[in-house]
Amino acid sequence: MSPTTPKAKAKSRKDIVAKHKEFLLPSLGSHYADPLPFVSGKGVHLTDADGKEYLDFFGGIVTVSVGHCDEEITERIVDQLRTLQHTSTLFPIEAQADLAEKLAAIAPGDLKRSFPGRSSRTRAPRPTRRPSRWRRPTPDAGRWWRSAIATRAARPVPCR
Amino acid sequence: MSLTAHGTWRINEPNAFPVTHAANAYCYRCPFGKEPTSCNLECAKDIETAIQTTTDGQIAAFIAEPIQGVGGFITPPPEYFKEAAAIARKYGGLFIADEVQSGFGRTGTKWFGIEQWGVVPDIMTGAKGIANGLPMGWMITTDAVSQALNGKVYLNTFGGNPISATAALATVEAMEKRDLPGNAARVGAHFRNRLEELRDKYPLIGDVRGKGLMQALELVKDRKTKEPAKPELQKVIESAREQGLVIGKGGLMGNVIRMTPPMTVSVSDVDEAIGKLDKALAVGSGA
Repeated sequence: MSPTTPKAKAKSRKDIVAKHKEFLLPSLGSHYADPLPFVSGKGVHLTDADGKEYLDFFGGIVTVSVGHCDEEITERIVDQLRTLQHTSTLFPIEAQADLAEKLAAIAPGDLKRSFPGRSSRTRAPRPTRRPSRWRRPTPDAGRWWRSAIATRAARPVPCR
Repeated sequence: MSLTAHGTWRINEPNAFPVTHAANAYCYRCPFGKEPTSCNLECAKDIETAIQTTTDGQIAAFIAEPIQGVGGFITPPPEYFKEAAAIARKYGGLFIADEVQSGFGRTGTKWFGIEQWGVVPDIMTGAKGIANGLPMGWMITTDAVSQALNGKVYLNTFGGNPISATAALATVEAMEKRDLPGNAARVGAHFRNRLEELRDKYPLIGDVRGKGLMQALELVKDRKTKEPAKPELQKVIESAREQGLVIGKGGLMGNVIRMTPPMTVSVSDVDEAIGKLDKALAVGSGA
C-alpha cells in the first residue's frame, strides 16, 4: 500500500451532504449547522472535501489516540487484512489472545481476563443486556453476573 | 440505555433493569451546594443512601466513568472513588470503571483514568481510543469474577475480530513505544495552563476541567447564575471550524466544549489551537 494518505477528491462536499440527508436516518445529526464531511486525515490534521485543513482537537470522537492514518498502525492492519480477515470467536484468534495478554499487562491489580466486543455497545457483558437471566444462579462471582447494575455516579439531580 | 443519566441518549425506553442513580460528583454544580475544598464527599455518600432507599441492600455493581465523557468531562473530587468503591463493596457489589473515554493514556501517565484516583476496579469496560478509530469494545475482569461464565456460551460474531484486535494491539504498542501517556501528561499540562489563561480572559468560561489530554470548558452566560451558554457554545465551535479547528461538545446541558486531540499532539499544535480558540471565544462572547 502507499504509505501516504491519498488526498481524496471524489465528490464535492455538497454532494456528500445531500446524499447523507436523503438516505440516512435523521437521528444522525450534524456537529455543525452546515454539515462537514472530512475526506482524509494525517496525524492531528483532517482535510474536508473542499481541501481545507483542520486541527482535530476532538480526535475523531475521543477515538483517534495515535493520530489519523498512523503509518505503523495502518501497515499492521493492512497486513492482517491480507492474511486473515475473519473466522469468528468460535476459533481462537492470535491477535485477540495477544491483545488480551497486553491488556492484562497494563491493567491495574488482578484484572486479567478480557472479553472483546464490536464497539462500546458490546463492551458490557450479557447479564446487563438479558434481563431474563438476572436471577439465574451462578457460582462465585457475586451478583454482577446474575443481577443487574444498581448504581452509577451520575443522575440528573437538580444542579446549581 | 438504562445506565445512562443523560436524557439525550434515552429514546422511548424505560429503565429495563433495576438501575439506581446516585448524585453526580459535579463539583462546579454541586448537588449539595458544597465546595470541593471543604465538602465531605456528600456525592459519594449518596451512593449509600441510594442503596439503602432504592434497593434491597444487595447490589450487583456500581458503575461509573472515572471522568465522565459525554457528561462533559466532569471530574470528581480526588477521594470520590475510594469512598464510592468502598460503599459498593460493603453491599456486596463489584466496582466497574467505564473507561470508554478516559482509558488508554488519555488522562496522562497512567493507562486508565481510574488509576488517577488510586482505586482498583473489579471490572473495566472500554472502547473508543483502544484501536485508534477502528470499532472495538472490551472489558477486563479478574480470574475469580470470570469463573461465573464457566460452562456458559457467550461470544460474539465480530467481537475481537483479527482486524480490530490487530489495530488495538498496534495502537497500544505504538503508545508504549512513543510514550503517549507521558506525552498526554506533559502536553496536557501545557494545554490546561493555556485554557486557564483563556478562562481569566473570558467570563464566558465558567469552569475548566479534566485531566491530561481530556480537557473541557463549561460555558456560562453569567458566572454567578451559571446559566448554561448553549447558543454561545455553538457560535464558538462554528467560529473554530472557520479557522480550521475541530472541537467537541457535550455536557448535561449541552454547554461544554470537549477537547481530546490525538495523543501525538505537540506543544506547538496546542498553541496553534489556543490561538484559534481565543478568537472563537471572542466571537462566542459577542466581542
